[in-house]
Order: sequence, then C-alpha cells, then structure tokens
Amino acid sequence: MSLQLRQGARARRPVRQTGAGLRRALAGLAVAAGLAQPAGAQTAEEQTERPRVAAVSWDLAQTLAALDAPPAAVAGLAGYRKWAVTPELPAATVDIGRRMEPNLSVLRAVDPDLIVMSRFHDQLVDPLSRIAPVQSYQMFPADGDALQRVRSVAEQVARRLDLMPAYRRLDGELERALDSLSRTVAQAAPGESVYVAYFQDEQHVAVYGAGSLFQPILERAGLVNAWQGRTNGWGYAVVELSELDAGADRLVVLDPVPDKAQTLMAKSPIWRALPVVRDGRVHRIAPVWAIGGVPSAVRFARLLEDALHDGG
Amino acid sequence: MTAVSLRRPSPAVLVVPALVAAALALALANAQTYGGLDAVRLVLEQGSAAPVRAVELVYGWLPRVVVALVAGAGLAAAGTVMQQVLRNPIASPLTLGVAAGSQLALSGVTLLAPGMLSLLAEPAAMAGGAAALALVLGLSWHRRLDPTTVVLAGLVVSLYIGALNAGLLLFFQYDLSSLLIWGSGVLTQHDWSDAAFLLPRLAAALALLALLRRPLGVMTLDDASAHGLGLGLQRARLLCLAVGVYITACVVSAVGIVGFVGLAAPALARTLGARTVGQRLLLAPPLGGTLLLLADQIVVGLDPILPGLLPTGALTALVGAPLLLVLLRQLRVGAPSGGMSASAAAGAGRAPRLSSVWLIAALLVLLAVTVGRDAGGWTLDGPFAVLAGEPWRLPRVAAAACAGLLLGLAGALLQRLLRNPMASPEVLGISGGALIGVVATLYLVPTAGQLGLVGAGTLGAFAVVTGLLLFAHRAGGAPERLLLVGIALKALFDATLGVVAVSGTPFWQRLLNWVSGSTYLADWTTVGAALAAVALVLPLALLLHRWVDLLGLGGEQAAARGLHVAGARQALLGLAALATAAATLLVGPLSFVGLMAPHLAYILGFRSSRAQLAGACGIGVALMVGADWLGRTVAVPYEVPGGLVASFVGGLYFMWLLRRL
Repeated sequence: MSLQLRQGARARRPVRQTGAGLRRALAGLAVAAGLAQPAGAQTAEEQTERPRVAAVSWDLAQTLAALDAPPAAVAGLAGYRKWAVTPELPAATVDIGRRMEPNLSVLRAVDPDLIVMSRFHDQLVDPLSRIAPVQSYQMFPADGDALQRVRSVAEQVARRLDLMPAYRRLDGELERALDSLSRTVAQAAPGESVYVAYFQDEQHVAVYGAGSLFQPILERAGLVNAWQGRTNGWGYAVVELSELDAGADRLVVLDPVPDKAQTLMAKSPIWRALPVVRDGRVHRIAPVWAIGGVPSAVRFARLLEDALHDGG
Repeated sequence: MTAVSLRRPSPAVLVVPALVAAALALALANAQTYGGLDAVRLVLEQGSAAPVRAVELVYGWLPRVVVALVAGAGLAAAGTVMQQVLRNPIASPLTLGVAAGSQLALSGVTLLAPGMLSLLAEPAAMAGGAAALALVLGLSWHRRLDPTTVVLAGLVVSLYIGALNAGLLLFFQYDLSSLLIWGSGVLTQHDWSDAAFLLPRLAAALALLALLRRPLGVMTLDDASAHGLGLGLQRARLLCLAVGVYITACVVSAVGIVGFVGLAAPALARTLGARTVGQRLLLAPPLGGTLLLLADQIVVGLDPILPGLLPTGALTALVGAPLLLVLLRQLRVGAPSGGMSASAAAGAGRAPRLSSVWLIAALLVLLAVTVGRDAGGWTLDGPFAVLAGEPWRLPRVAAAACAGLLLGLAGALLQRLLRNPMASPEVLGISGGALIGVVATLYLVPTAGQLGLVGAGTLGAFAVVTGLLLFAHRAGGAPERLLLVGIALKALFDATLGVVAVSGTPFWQRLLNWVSGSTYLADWTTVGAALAAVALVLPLALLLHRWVDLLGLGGEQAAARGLHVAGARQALLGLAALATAAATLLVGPLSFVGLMAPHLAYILGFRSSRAQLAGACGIGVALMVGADWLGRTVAVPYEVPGGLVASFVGGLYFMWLLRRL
C-alpha cells in the first residue's frame, strides 16, 4: 500500500516541476521588474535539493523560514502574511488551504518529504501521514517557560532537518535581540511594569500573562508583567479593557487595532482614566504572532526595543 | 384604558415587583463594588483624575445599566409590534430572523470595508434585518402570514443565515474575531456613546408607535373587517414592521444579539392582563428593560468568579429557550398543510423504479471518488488509482454516503410519524441536541474519544426526542408545534457556542470546524462505525414499515388495528434519534438533508412508507455525497465542509418548499 502510494505520488512529479519552472520564470520577472526579493528567499533549484517540508501551523512555518529552510507549502498562507508577517515566505510557497483541513490533493502535488505542525492539530496526523511523515511539536500550551519551549522546538526541528548551523545562528540572533532589549530597558525603563495586550474588539483585550511567549521575554529584559491574573493554556486571557487597572508603567498594544478601538483610545473616559494610560505610556507595535516560535520572540524583542527608544 | 378594564389579573402580577426589586438590588450591590455614591462624587469633583474604579462606575457601569434598560425596552417594543402586526404570539426579532440578518450584514461590512464600520453599521444592520424579514414574510405570504408558517420561515431563514455566518467565520476567523464577542451579546460599555446612540432612536421609534397605536389596534381584526374600517392596512402594517426592524437593527448594531427579551417581555405583559396593544406598548418596554437589566447585572456580578467572559446574550438564551416552549402552547395552529399528509400517501402515484434513484446515487459516488481537483486543475483517476494515490478519498465519500442515508431515513421516519412534511432532524432540533451533547462533553473532557462522543451525541439526541414525545403528548395532536421546538433548541445551541467563542481559546476553531460538518477526518474506522449504525437502523426501519403505515393513519385507527401506539411510536422515534446522532457526528447538525431527501422521494412518487424510506435513503446518499464532493473541489486549496455545502443547498430547498405548501 505504501509502495503504491509513493508511486502515485511520484507520478505527480512532472506536474510539480512544471509549476516550479513557471515559478522560476515568475521570480525572474519579479527580479526584472525590480521587485524586492524577500530576505532569505532561495531560488527554486536550491529548494529542490533540500528536503521539501510542508507546515500546517504558522509557528512551525516561521521557525522553518527563520532556519533558512522556508517550507514549500503552508496552510492559510494569506493569514500568515497578515498576522505573523516575518520571516517572509518566498513567493513560490504553495497555499494548502485551511489549517484545520489542509487540502490533501494539493499537498500530494507538492510532494513534501516531511509535514510539520503544532500538536494542537494532532487529529490531522492520520490523514496527513498518508502523504509524508508527520512530526508535531508543542509550543503552546507551554507548561512553563514558553521561551525555553519554543527554543527547544526550534532545535528539534533543526536537528531533524540537519540545520544545526542555522539554529545556532538563529539562537544567537535571539540572544542578541534579548540582550539589546535588556540594555535598552536598563537605560530607558528599568524595572518597569508592562501590559502586553491585543484588542479583540473595542472593549475587550487579550492580555498576555503567565504561559505566554512574552512573559519570559519581559522578565529577562528586567521588566515586570503587569498582568498577574488568570490566563488560559495559551498564555492569555480575554478580559474587559477596564480590568487593566493596575498602576502599570507601560501598555504595549499589538497591531492590528480595530477601527472602533482607535476611536476609543481618542475618546473613552475609562481608557483615559486607566492608570497605565494616565500616568504611563502606551506603545503600539506591529503584529506579532503571539503563539509563535523563536522568530516571534525575536520580532517582539526588537519591536519592543524600538518602541522604548521612540517612546523614550 | 384604566386598570379596571384589565382582565382578571393573574398571580403573575407579583412577578413584576419581584423582578424590579431583584434587578435593583443586584445593580446596587454591583455599584457598591465600584465605590457607590462616593465614586460619583469623586468623578464629579476630579473629572478624569478620579480613581479608575470611580470612573468605571460613571462611564462603564452606569451607561451599561442605561443600555441594558434601553436595549431591553427596544427589543420588547419591537417584539410587541411584530406580534401585533403578524397576529402571532411568538413573533420577535429573534424568531423572525431579523437579528440574524442584521448580524450577517455587519459581518459583511467588517470583511469588505472594516474602515467604514462605524459609518455603515447602522444602515447595514437595518438593511440586513429588513432583508431577512422580507424574506420571511415573502415565504409565508401565500399562506396569509399564518403564524406557524411565519415562525417556521423565520427559523429556516435564521438557520440559513447562521450557516452563512459559520462559513464566513471558518475562512475569516481572525478578521471577524471582534464579531465573536459582539455577536454573542456582550453589554460592556466604556463611555456613553452607545447609550447616546440608542436613546434618541428608541425614543423616536416609540413616539412613532404611539402615533400608530390606533391602526395597530385594528390589526388584530381580520383583513376584511379592517378594510371595512377604511384603513390602508398593508401600508400601516409595513410601517409598523419597519419601525420594529429599525429598533432591532439599532440594538443589534450596538450590543449584538440578545435573544428572547423581545419575546418574553410582550408575553409577560399579556400574562399580566394587558389586552390592548396600547397597554402592551406601555407595559412591555419597561418589563423588557427590567429583564435585560436583571440578566446583565447577574453577569456583572458573576464576572469576578467566572473563568471567562459570559455573554449576556448567552444567559438570556439559556433562560429564554424554555420560555419559548411554554409560549408555543398558546400558538393557534393553522390547518395542517395538505399535500403530503399520510392519507394522500395511500393514493397511488406513478412510482419510478427505486433502482434508478440508487443508480444516480451510485453515479455520484463514482464521480466523487474519481474526479478530484488539486492546485494544477481537475483530475480524473480510475478507482484503483484513487485507492493507491489518494486513499483518503474513499472513506470520506463512504462517510458522506452513510450520513446521507441515515439522515434520509431519520427524516422519512419523522415526517411519517408526525404527519408533517416539514419535520426533519435538523428542524426538530434533534441534530442540535446531539451537538449540544458532544460540545458539552468536549468542553468538559477535551480528551474524550470518538466512542464517548457518539455516546454523548446519542444521549443529547434522545433527550430531545424524549422532550418531543412529552411535548407532543401535551400538545394533543398538533404536531406542527413540535417543529417550533427546533427554534428553542437552536437558540440554546447558539448560546452554548457563544460561551465557547468568547473564551478566545483556539479550542473554538476546532469546535467551529466540527460544527460545520466536515468528512475530512473520516477514515475506515469512522466508516465502520457508520456502517454499523446503518446496518442496525436500516433493516429495522424497513421491517417496521407497517407500524409506520399504521401510525400514519392516526393514533386511534392504529390502536383499533391492534398496535401498541405509544410503544411503537417511541421505538420508531428512537430509531430516528439514533440515526440522527450517528449522522450528526459525521456531517454536523445543519445539513437539511433529512428534510430534503424524504420530501424529494415523495415528489418523485415514492408514496408508500416503505418506498419512501428506501427512496429517501438513496436520495440522501446522493445529496450528501454531492455536497461533500462540491465542498472538496469548489475552492481548492480551501475546503468547504460538506455539511455546510448541504445546508446552503438545503436551506434554499426548504424555502422553496415553504412557498409551495
């Protein structure tokens, strides 16, 4: 059965390679037109030499891309580009549909050598393993220090795909970003307390606390998370805005902020009376995929550092 | 009108002071946690420099109280008007699909023009609500807006809109995340803007209704007498309904969907003896305001001890759904629809060959197995190549086929037993019951296995069937009413989903996906279990078709021919429940296949109970397999769950059917 499956899959190879040819041609066009090639993007030839990996969840997709081995296929590609943003994925990346139900026929045409995903999607192991070996990793719920957890997942992925040099480089990048953040904090905001929140709608926020990726980053940088309350397994709680009423020094708001919430920030008396707004500072930073891996951690550390610089 | 003219005041009069006292006490207790009057003084003295808790009292808690009162009053007024105009005691913004229409329109605006939401919210909600109501009325126009038909049309339109909304959420989950909280009816306020938005609009609407009080009063007369009084009756009706829709749209765009207040308050006013519409318009809005305030202050009070947000809309639905069942008993049911009653079934039709139906089903199965689509385009493979190359396709097709068969069978049994062509597992809420069982289990025991879920689903379905039997007994031979139980169950079901949705955990994605009814995860184990269900239910149903025939004649005749009526009925309904539970686990609760298949079978000429059962099974297979195939191929690489596709098609069919009855 498995032999037949491989034969069936191989029969599809020509189709894919036609597609690769087209992609190469398009990439050439893009270069000719002077369009920026995303950093770390590989040519189609280089990609085919490496194992082809498909990523069902975005935490793994960004981790792979950060290890200079961008996945050949990603589920929910448009969403990744909107919500996780970096590392950018090559233009040739194939979209395999919803993360809850990756399209098996399309995935088969991609013909990956490995499929990786979050353990949250474990119900997909059976159907997906008919196409290629499946490896799932648990970043969240982190059950403890999320930074340690996402690091060790990145290392496992790197080991599995023989990318250890890239992992060491990525880990060094993370260390540098965290150190740099710590230095900035020591200068600009030593020991301050910080809320990190994302507006769900104009009156409710997801506020990140224990178990989130941001918690250990704040701690390491010498900051205190102002949210000491309950969180769900993924490290956040959805609460009314008015619950952010501790006397914190800063509120970091992750983009995108809904239209109506922007109006709220301009007008609402409760918003203005929040101690952190009245006496502290509010920073808006670009989107960060909060249940993401090492790239999310690097991205958050850098964005936070920029915000501290700009906001003084 | 003076109090003297009120009819015998019922003991329910005591309910009003109790409600008001409870709402006030709770509200004041909650206010104390913010600092009470001292807090107000602080805010007056210091402005925004006052402590945040004090500011929250004045700009959070206080407008929230006002919004609850105003929204509750508005919904009550809207419900009163709708009930009056349509001469229908269970008309309300919720049961007529108006709230759902507004919600869908707002989802559309959020997706297409998020930057314009503040500007477009009100007109879009108005347009969506009006469109939904127009659809409901259009569907029941030919039956002179008969109350049962109107509410049934409202249910179908709400179910259909719900399916569309679920489809949008499935694909634009993060873009619509702000709608999840709002859509479940959360009354949190952060300034006076919502109150300032609602107050003048509601005041204007109520003033207009006060002017329209006299024509409204005439509407209880039948059309002929009203025309005799020289009224432009239709125009006055439309105007009143438009006011009702406008109020609903304003409330929905401000606080989302808060169900049942618009139903409960007018009903309570009637129970208290308010006979004329003028009295009801005076009494229902304050009652509605009090009810919503009470519910909302319970939520505010509970908030510190709950693990997550509890939407006020979910609470009103939990309390309101049982109330609807009580109200259903007041509904005067129109003449049972003709067309397909069991007596007509005895008449001979030109019966086609059963084999041709199954041939079509088989051809569709072949199509679904051999024709696929990937990123490169359409593909055609022989069955053996598919087995080798895409081994997941066959189990999915088989699971869809089993689900279609089971739903067709359950629908045929229910339509025969209840002697109602509109009966089906979806409409009766049996699917919803199965789903509530599964959702509750998944929520409490996330690690529950497939067997546990089947058990929970079956239990849920049986609970609904038992309730239906009890209710049918009480309703005394008016099975039409049973259909409306589906409304109550749908509301309960939405409330359950709402609680999970606002919790914000990724668990929600899995649940939404599951509700949408996908065969994606079907494997041979699933198919084995589904086949076992088919092997159990199908032969029994075919063996017992004589019971079905006898029961179709009516209880007395069946008993006269020696049938143990209650036992036989229970056994057959139990079979239907089992089939429904199994099918719901395969393709979700919304497919409408259980409605369509038996009905199509009947139209095609399968008139005897045995023929209809067999025909419905074949057609169910064809429908479900076709829907599943369409869902897999229509938007590659994105898959649309087959249950959702079937409900898009099935909902339209139901509407068409409603117009023909």
